[in-house]
Amino acid sequence: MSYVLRTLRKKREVDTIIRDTIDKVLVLRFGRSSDPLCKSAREVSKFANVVLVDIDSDEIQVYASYFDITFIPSTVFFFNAHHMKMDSGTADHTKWVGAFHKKQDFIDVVEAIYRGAMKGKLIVSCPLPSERIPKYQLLYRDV
Amino acid sequence: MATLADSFLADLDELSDNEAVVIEEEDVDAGNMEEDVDGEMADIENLNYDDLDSVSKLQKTQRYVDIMQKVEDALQKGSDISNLGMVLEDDPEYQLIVDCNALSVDIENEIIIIHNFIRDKYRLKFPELESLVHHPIDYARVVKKIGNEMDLTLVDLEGLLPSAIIMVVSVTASTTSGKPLPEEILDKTIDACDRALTLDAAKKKVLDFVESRMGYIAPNLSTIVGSAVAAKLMGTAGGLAALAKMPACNVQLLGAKKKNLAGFSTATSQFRVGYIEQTEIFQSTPPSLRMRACRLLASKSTLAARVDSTRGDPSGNNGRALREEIRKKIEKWQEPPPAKQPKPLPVPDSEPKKKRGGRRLRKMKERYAITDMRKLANRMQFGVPEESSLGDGLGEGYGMLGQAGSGKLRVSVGQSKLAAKVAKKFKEKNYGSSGASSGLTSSLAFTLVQGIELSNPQAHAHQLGSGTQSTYFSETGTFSKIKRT
Repeated sequence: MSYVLRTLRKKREVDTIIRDTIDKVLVLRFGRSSDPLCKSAREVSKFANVVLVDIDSDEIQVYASYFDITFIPSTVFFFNAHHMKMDSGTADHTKWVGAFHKKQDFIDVVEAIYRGAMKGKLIVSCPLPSERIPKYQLLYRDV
Repeated sequence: MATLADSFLADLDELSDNEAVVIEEEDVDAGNMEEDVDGEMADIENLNYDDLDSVSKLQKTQRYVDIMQKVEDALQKGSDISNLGMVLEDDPEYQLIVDCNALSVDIENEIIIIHNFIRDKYRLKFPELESLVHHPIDYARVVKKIGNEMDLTLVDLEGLLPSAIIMVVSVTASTTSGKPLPEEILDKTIDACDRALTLDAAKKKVLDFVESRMGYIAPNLSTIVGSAVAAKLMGTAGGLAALAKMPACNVQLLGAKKKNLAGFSTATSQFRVGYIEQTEIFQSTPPSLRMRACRLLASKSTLAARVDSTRGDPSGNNGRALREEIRKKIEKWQEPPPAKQPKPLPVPDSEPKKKRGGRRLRKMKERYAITDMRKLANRMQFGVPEESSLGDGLGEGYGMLGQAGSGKLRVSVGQSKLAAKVAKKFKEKNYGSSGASSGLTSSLAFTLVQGIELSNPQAHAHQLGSGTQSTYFSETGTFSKIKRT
C-alpha cells in the first residue's frame, strides 16, 4: 500500500470531485478505515478514481441520507457526473453494498462500469458470479 | 629402323611417365634422370628411416647455439631495463627477443618433425599409440617410458598422461598388433625422444626469458593479460608484429588444445579458449560470463598488442586504461536487473484488437461461409410451396433447392470467391456442365414432373446463377437491362 486513499470530509470536496473527474469512473467509497481498495486504486488508476468518503463527518451526512447509506462500507459509482447503477442481482442497484471479496472483483466491477459508461449506458449488469456478491436484506422503515 | 619401330612402340605407352622417351640419346638422359630420381628417393628414405641427424638439424646449427647461449647469459644477468630512451630496433636485447620468437617457432617445427620420425619408428611396436596420444612431447615421454616392453602393466605412466588416457592405452596395448623392435631401431627411437625433450626444455627456457623481458617489450599487453600469457601469445604468434596483425578472434584461439578424440563425448569439452584462459581476469569471472569475458579480453589485448608493436605507449598507460575498462564491463554484466515497476491496468477498449487479414484468413473463413446450397434453401419462390424433409410442411424446408425450372440442374459446391477470380481469366465458362465441375456429372437430370430436363446453356450463361449471386456486383456479369430508347 504505497499511499492512503484520498479522504473527503466536506460536502464541497465531494461536489468538486464529482464535477472534476472527467472520463474516468469515480468510485466513492463510504467507509471508515483505509482498506484493501488501496492497492487496486493504482492499478485501475488509468480509468478510475478511487476516493474515500468519511462517513463520520457531519457534512457528509447529507450524502449519506441522499444515497441511503446504512451499511458500511458502501460504494457509489459516478461517470462524468452521472450516477451509474449496477444490477448485481440484489435489491439495490444504485450502489454496491458491502466489501469486495477480492481485489480482482473490484477491478472487474469498475471495468464493467467503464465499458457501459463509454457506450452510453446508465446501468450495467454485474460481471461477478453470485457467490462473490455480498448479500443483504433490504428492510423498509417508515414506509 | 629399329629405333623407329621402338619409337612407335613407345608411343603406344602414353600413360607412362615422360621419361620413357623415344630416341636413344634421350634414353640416356632419361636414364640419368631416373637415376637422379632414384637417388632422391633414396635420400628421402634415408631421411625417414635411418638417420636422425639428417632429420633434425636444428640443434647443430650455429644460430641455435648462439641464441641459446645469449639466453642463458641474459637469464643469469637478471632484468636490466634501463634503455627506454633508445630506439627499440637498435637495442640488442630487443633483437635477441625477436630472434627468440623466431627460434621458438623453429623449435616447434623441429619437434613436429622429430615426432613424425619417432612415430614412424614406433609404429612397428605400437601403432595405435599415435592416435591416442596427440601431443608430441607427451608421445615422446610415453615412448621413452614404455621402451620395448610388451606388457603395459609393468609400465607406470602416472603423471605423464591423464588417468583416463592411461587406461585406454593399457587396454589397447593388450590387443595391439605390434611386435618388439630390433635393438638399433629402439636405440634410435629413444635417441629421438631425448632430442625432442631437450628441444622442449630449450623452448621453455626461451619462453621464460621472453617472459621476464615482457614488461619491457610489450608493457600494455602484459598489463592486461599478465606477462606469462603475453609471452606465450607472442611466442605462438611468432613475434609482436605478427600478433598485432592477427584479428582478435584468432588471438582468442592461440594455444587452444586440440579436440580429445578418444571416443570421449564432446558434450563436456571446454569452449574455444586458448592461452587467454590462464589470465587472472578470466579466472576470476563467474563461469556463466566466461565466454563473453574471453571475447572481450581477446579484443582488448589485440588492441594493446597493436599499440605495443608500434611502440606508441611505452609507459603502459593504455594497457592500464584498457584493463580498467574490462573490469568495469565485467562488473556491469553482473549487476542484477532493475526492479520491475507495477504498471496500472490499461483503459478497457482503448487498444482496438488487431484484426488480421490476408489470404490465409480468407481461406479459413471460407470453411464457415454460407454455401450456395444453403442460400438456395433459405429462399423461396413466390407462390410455390417448398418441399420439406419430412414431407407436408414438416421438417426442414428445402426452399428453392432442387425445384424444377430454377435454371440450375444440380447444385454443387460453388466456387469460392478466390477461385472465381481465377475462373474469370478463363473466359470460356461452363457451357454444358451447368455448374458442376466434376467430369462425372452429366447435363441431364430426371425430375419427377417432366422426365428429362435439359438445360439451356444460353439461359444459364445469362442468368448468372439462380438468384444466389448478385448481379450488381458480379465480376462475370454482363449488362442486365438494355433498353432501346
